[in-house]
Formats: sequence, structure tokens, C-alpha cells
Amino acid sequence: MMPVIETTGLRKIFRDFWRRPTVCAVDSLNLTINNAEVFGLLGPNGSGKSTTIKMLLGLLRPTAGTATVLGKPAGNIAAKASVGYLPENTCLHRFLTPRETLHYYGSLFGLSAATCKKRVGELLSMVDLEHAADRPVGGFSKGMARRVGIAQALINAPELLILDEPTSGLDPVACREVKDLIRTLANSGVTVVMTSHLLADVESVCDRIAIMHRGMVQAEGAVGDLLLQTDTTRFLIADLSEAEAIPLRDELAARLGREVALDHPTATLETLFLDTIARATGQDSPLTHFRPSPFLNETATMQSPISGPTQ
Amino acid sequence: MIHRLQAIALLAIRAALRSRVVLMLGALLLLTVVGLPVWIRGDGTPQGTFTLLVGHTLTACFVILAATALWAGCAAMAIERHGGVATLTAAKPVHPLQLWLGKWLGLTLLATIMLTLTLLTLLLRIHYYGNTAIPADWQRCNLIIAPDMPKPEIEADLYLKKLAEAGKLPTDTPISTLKADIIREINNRYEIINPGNTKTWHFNIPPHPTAKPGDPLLRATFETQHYLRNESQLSITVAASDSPPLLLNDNGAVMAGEPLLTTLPAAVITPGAPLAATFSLSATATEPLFIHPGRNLALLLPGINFTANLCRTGIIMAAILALFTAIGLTLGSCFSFPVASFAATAFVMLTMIGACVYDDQTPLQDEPPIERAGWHIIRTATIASRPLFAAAPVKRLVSNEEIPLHDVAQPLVTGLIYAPALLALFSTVILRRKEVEG
Repeated sequence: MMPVIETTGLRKIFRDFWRRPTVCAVDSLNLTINNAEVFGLLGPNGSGKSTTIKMLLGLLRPTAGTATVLGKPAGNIAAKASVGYLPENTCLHRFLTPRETLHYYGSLFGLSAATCKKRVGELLSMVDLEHAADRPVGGFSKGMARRVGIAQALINAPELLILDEPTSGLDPVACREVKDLIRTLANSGVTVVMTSHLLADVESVCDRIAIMHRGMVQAEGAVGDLLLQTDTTRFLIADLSEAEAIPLRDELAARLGREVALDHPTATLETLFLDTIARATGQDSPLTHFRPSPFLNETATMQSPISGPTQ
Repeated sequence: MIHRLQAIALLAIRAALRSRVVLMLGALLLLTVVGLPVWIRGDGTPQGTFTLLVGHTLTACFVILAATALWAGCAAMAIERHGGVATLTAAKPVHPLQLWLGKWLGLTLLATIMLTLTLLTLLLRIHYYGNTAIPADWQRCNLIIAPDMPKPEIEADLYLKKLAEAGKLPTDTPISTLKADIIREINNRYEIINPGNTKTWHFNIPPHPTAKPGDPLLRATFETQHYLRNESQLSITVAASDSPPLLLNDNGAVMAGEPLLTTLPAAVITPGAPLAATFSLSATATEPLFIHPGRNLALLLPGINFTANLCRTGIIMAAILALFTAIGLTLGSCFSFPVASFAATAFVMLTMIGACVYDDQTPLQDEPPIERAGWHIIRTATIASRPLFAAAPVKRLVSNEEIPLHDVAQPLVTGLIYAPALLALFSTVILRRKEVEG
């Protein structure tokens, strides 16, 4: 099957006014992103994530190399018709309301008035902005503007969704909703490429990631494969009291002749926050919906007070 | 395609109406179109008041509208590009040409609506004035008449004939070159009528003159060598080719600098035959009179009414505003808003300077290179803008001259099709080359 995005030797050098090279933002980038995959681009500031995305959209011209998006050269107008994009900074026309903003971008995609109206209604409901649908976005908070940005990225029901820091500016509840949305879209066959500084976000939604540094991919692969620590083994036993656990640990240490650590899995701060908010608002605990299986390794490995190195 | 253009155009209009610069200029336009006619008192005559009312108000309004069109164009492209919104738009399946065209259509529509409202307000004011003025005088003001200037070719032929008869015709110069030189001299020459002397000009009457009602007019504006305006006595005689001369203004008063309008009987106009107009300055005059026939002498025949002429003026102005919008958008595509608006203002000033020095066609020879370069820049700007400004709609409107349809068509083609198409292509190339880093 043809990859949705494919780059070969992609390179971008920024130049100053006199055409002198100032920085090599992306170097020798070879990426292959497949259909219905959630791909995360990670890296510190200035590592070339946004530059890569802009080259894929044709907003920046590569200095060298090639990039294809949906089988067409990057920046191709026909390809853009099937791409949704959320930039890092949501710059919208301040005088337009969310409804007008979505109608405008829908028109740019050539959607008919009826389709556009239906889609705008659905998206406003989805990003929970129905109550503010007719207020100018100039008066919106960063998070609300971000929701409008997310909605406009989905107006054309894209095959490929490119999200640059999608959870930036959003509260934890909205973050969770966005991550759920990304997973839902991926399950329905949409390919998602996202960048984020929030590693937990990437870890919980991405199938594959690439870690970039100084414009180059330093590590790439499936999240599970990259995070797997084969030099350490962990047993997970439900409902084991401390009194039962300590003798087991000691026996195991004695049998193996090596140190054995004993700890309890901890929830993430995100899940704790969501649980607290849900309880405060009288809803079902989102933990019951979102708490991932500990076998997916979404647990911090902080040592609990009861654990400690073996004697 | 149409759907996209419509969306972009509507957004451009809304963005322009939100722009503080455009709002400020709009307020200034409102103040001008409503306040200036109230403030203008006129010179006591219906013709003078009409000239001041239309000329000053329309000129002031057009300057404001031109600035609005230019700056709104600059802002529409530059602010979007540098404000980050362009990042989202550029990621959508919109060709830069579509973006440019949509914005141009929207802003041109906005400028045209503003112009139409201005002209309607002015027309209402003129009609109000016409109803309160003396009806007969107002009738003359409202009569728009077509010009027919004295033809220098006739005079050049007569001069060449005289030279040939006297045996003084140069043999080393072709007749065509000689005639072209004489015509150029005539076009740039001030004629002098000394006290007690006469001067005659010939007008060509079209073979099929318009059948509009109204008397023909002979309009002449004389000057003197003094700054003070003196009154002189002048007689005017007109003669068709096969009829006796008719004395019209027997030693009538003429004020230097003021247009002298003389009504001619319709009977003196013979279709297809030349008409001779002879001006005789009284022997008692203290100083000679000067006239530039090319500019200040015209035979005016009945034509369309004021409203129709105002519509033609409006069409020409709308075409110029469309071009100004296109120039603004192009500058906005190339530069940031401050640089683009500065360049736009410089362009207007250059064009205006060019229009002022247009008659000075003598190339500079011994001046420093920088002065020669400046002369060439201004001349180029003048030549480039000639198709637009040649129609001089306001000047002709206040002079009660009919603006012919072909003079409307030329700016229309230049301002709405030819120049915007070139600018759109240029902008598209620039926008495609420029990267969106916001």
C-alpha cells in the first residue's frame, strides 16, 4: 500500500537576507508514514519538527530531497484538499465568529453551503463551542481559539491530519478529548501526524514516533518497541498486600541472587486530575474510561514508600 | 472556483471594514462628500458654483478613495501574510492567484460601492443646487457639450502653403517632417493677440453632429502677462464656409483667466464644413492677450446630460480605483505593510508629479545623471499611467464636456483587465516563491 507521507533526503537550510545559510533546520530526513497511523514527531525546541510539517504542506520549500503527500508532491493543491492542518499558533481572523471561521475555511475547500452548514454544526458541537459559536474569536481564550483551530482542521473530513502541538493551550480535560479524538480518527482510517512537547500525550496516542534533534531523526519506531526495556522484568499482581509482597520479593531475590525492587504502579497526574474533576462535576470517573492497562506501561515508575532495595 | 472567490472577496471586504486606516479614510470621505459642498460658497455665478462644487468635491473624494484602495490592498495581503493567518490559508487548496483575485474583487467592489455612494450624494446636492439656482443659468450648467478643438493640421497646411508660395519651403527636409514640427510648435505655442489685431482659428464640424437640443458654445480662456487680472474688450466673429461672418461679441468684456463662454446660433453649424472663429482685441486695450489654443479654446456642441456624464466619470474612476487596489495588493504581496504602504504612497506622488511635468518632454542633456534618472523615472510613470489619466474625467465634467465612450473604454480595459491581469500574474509568482514562515 502506498504510504501517505514519504520523504527522501529532505533538507531545509534557512538563509538570511543575503542568501547566506544561517541554520540547517532539517537534514537528511527519511520518513514513511502509513495509512491510518498516528505518527508523532518529538524533539526539543528548534529540532525541526514544525519545519518538517511546513515542508510537507508546501509552506516551506525544501533545500534538497523530495516529499510526497497522498502520492503527490508536497504542496500540491489537489493533495491539500485532503489534508487538515492545525498550526502551532492558532492565528484566526479576530472579527469572525467560530461559525463564520469554519464556513470560510469550508468554502476554501469548495464545500457546498448545505454540507458546510451541517459540518460546521457537527464540529462546533464536537469541540464544545456551541455556546460561543456566534462570538468573535478575538475575545476568546487561547484554549477556545485552539478548539476553533482544531475544528477548522477537520472541516474537510481530511484523509491526513497534521497537528502541530495540538494540545498546546488546552486544559487537561480538553487534552484528553483531543487525544481521544485523534485515536477515534485513526480508527476510522485517518492518518494523523502530530508534534508535541508533552511526551505523555504522544506516548498515549501515537502508534509510531520519530525523535528529532538538530534536524535529524535520532530514533524512530513503534512506541511500544522504543519504550520496551528488555533488561528489566516486572511482575504485576492484583490485590497483593504488603505482608504478602515482601516475603515474595525476598524469596525471589534469594533465588535469583540479584536485587529485586518492589513498587506499586502509580496513576498519571492527568488521570488523577480528570478523576477529581469528574467527581466534582458528578460524572463518571474518566479513569474508568481512560485509565490504560498497566501492561501498556503507562505508569510512572516512581518508587512508593513501601518499596526499596532488597537487603 | 466561484465559491472560493466569493468567500475570499467577502472576507477581504469585512477585513477592510475592520481596518482602522480604512475606517478613518471612510469617515474623512463622509465628511468631504457631505461637508465640502456645504462649505463651498461658489463665486456668485451658477457656472462657477457648479464648477467648484463638482470639481473640488469630486477631486477630494477621489484622492481619499484612491488612498483607501491602495492602503486596503496593501493591508489585505501584507497584514495577512505577516499576521500568521496566511499559514492557515496557504495550507488550504487555494492557488495564490485565486487568493489575489478574490481579494481584488472584494476590495474593488468595496471601493466601487463607496464611489457610487459618493457620486449619488454629489448628484443629489447638484440637483438641490439646480433647483434653487436661476433655471436658465442652471440649464446651461446642466448642458454637457462635446468639444472640437481647433485642428493644428489646418493651420500647418496653411503655413506650408504660404511658405511654398513665397518660395521659402526648405528642400532638404521632407514635407511630413516639416508638418510634424509645425504641428508640435502649434500645440506647444501660446498665441498672442495684440491690441487692434485679430486672430482666427478653424474648427472641424463633424459630418454627423449630435442631434441633442441646445446651442453650441465657444469657450476661450485668455491670459495676460500681468499677475493682476485686467478686463479687456474683445469681439468675436464666426463664419461657416459658405455663409457671411456673424459678429457675436462686439467689444464685449473679457477677464483674463476666466473662461469666456459665447453662445453660437445653431444655424452657423454646418455638418462637415469648417467653422472659422475670429477674435479681435480692441485697439484701446492696454496689453495683449495670450491663449493656448490646444488647452483653452474649444467649440462645444450639445451632448449628453450631466447625470450621464457623471456616470461615465464614475466608471473611469472605478477603473482607476480597481487598478490602485491591484497595485496595493501587489505591493502587499511583495513587502510588509509599512514598506508596502510607503511604496504605494510614493507611487501616487510619483504619478501626480509625472502628471504635472508631463508637458515638459524636453530630455535633459547636461544635467547630472541623478537628475536625468529622476526625469526618466517620472516620465516612465507618466507614460505608464497615461491610459488611465488621459481621460481626465473630473476636468472634463466640470468643463461641461462630454466624455466620449471610447475614452471610458480605454481606462476600463486598462484598469479592470490589462493591468490587473499583469499585476496578478506578477503577484502569483512572488507569492509562490515566498515561504510562509508564520
